[in-house]
Amino acid sequence: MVTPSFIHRGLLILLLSAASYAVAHGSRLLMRREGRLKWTAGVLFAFLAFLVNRLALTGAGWLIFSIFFSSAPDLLVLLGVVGLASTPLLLSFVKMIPFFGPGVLRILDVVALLRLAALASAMLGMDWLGCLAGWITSWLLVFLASARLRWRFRSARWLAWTGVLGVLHLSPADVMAEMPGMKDAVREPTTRSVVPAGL
Amino acid sequence: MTVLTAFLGAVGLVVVAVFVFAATSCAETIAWWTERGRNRAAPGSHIVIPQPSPEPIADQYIIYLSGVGRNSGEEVPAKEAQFLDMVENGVPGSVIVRDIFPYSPSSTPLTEYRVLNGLWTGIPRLARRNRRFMTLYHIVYFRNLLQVCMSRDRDYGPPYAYGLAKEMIKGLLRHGYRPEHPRPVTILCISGGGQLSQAAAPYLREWLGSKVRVISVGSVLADDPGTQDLEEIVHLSGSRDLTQYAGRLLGYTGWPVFPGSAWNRFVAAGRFRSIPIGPMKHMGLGDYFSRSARLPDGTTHVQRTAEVVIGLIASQPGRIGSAQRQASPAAATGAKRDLPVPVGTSVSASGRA
Repeated sequence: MVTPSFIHRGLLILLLSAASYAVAHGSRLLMRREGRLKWTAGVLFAFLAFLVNRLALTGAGWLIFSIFFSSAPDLLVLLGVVGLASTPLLLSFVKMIPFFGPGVLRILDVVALLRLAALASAMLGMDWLGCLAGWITSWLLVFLASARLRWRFRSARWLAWTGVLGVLHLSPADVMAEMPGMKDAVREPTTRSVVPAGL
Repeated sequence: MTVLTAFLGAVGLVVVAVFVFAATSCAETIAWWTERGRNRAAPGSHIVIPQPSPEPIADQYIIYLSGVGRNSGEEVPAKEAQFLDMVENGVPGSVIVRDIFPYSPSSTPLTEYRVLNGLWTGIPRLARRNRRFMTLYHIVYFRNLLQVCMSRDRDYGPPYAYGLAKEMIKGLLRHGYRPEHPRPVTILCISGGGQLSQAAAPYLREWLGSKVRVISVGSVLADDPGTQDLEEIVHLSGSRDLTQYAGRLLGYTGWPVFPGSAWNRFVAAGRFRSIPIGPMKHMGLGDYFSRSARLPDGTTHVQRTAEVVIGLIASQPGRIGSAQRQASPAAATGAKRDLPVPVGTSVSASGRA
């Protein structure tokens, strides 16, 4: 069932997704005007973080499968499923595109989850609902763990380059604090002769 | 089979092109914000207030934000220009700032300083030569629509809105507004201009020292956090215009099931008013500015829209001199603009002293 081309395709999609995510993160870091060092570190970190995230998801799925069915699944199969599901590529690509933010991303998250569950159930011969429950549980575990970390470092601005921890996005207040406003407005130099006060 | 394959291939190419176009839509904002954009005012450049001039300043200022069909601030379509003239003539003492291109954070026209300069200048040229090429304008619509979407994005939205608000302030100053003599400012917007005015609201409030009012002519409004920094939104709604609902439908946080969202709090506070204006469409023949389409009573669409807008602007709270001047929708069709308020005139709460 698992052919080399299957695994290769899965890995290729996984790598492309990570690259796409890294590009999106690079753009965000540009908006934060991060220096060259932090920008490079941030892009590399994003690429690796994406891979780690997917691998963590795979690991969680593997663990849950083992608990439910008392036997370990083929790790390659799980990896292939995670990579092959094309939705992660679409998801990470959409993350590059402005505005597809909240609504579309949540919908795609759900689509990705259903797709992963369907693929996994088809490939592992598992019960579809059990598989879905497994994926949801693993997804929640990863999500909660990262949410806990993000909360812990919620005000660590110096960690924002990671894209995972710290405050990444500029708020209107941040922009206003950094850029000149009306109070800093300057008068146009006059071309007329200036008459000293009192004369 | 070959035809089907070719068709599917073409569709695939279009889909890929659309995605690539969308993915690169933030490039302009990134380039401008990181000061890589050539020939553009840097985001950190100071606003320059012109020296006091003998020219009188106006009673109130209206900033016009156009729809997604424009490719520069200077080039105003004839029917939009006529509508703006009607409004300006109908409200004596008002000045409309109409040269802002809101689909660029630095108000840079599509026809200048761009990699795809040839495309943006070529589309109007082709459309003038043959009306069939008007369909190419959809590329301009799509490009500008993406900028509207971007103003809602949490990564690119705040800097974009900052740039737009700054261009609005510069536009006001160009037209005689002076910070030392504050006057009411209203944003008159259509189509994508609605969301853009919501996004720019926090910066305008900070700079002008007061909340601005928005008169939306069938604009696309969304649940932007900046909405709270607007005084009110008066929305003119055409019954044949479905596009106006796009922003509130697609941005799910604006749905009534999220009462805590910025938009729903704004609506609950009674700061959003919708005025049905008749069977008008969003764009094309029969739109809000249509000069040939008529309502059942014989009024043209543009006349009705102008009348309602004039009424709303004339009733602007705190409008300087509103007691003395009578807004006249009838004068909208060609009366000469009244002289604005002289500089240095002291102003009382009830009007001019």
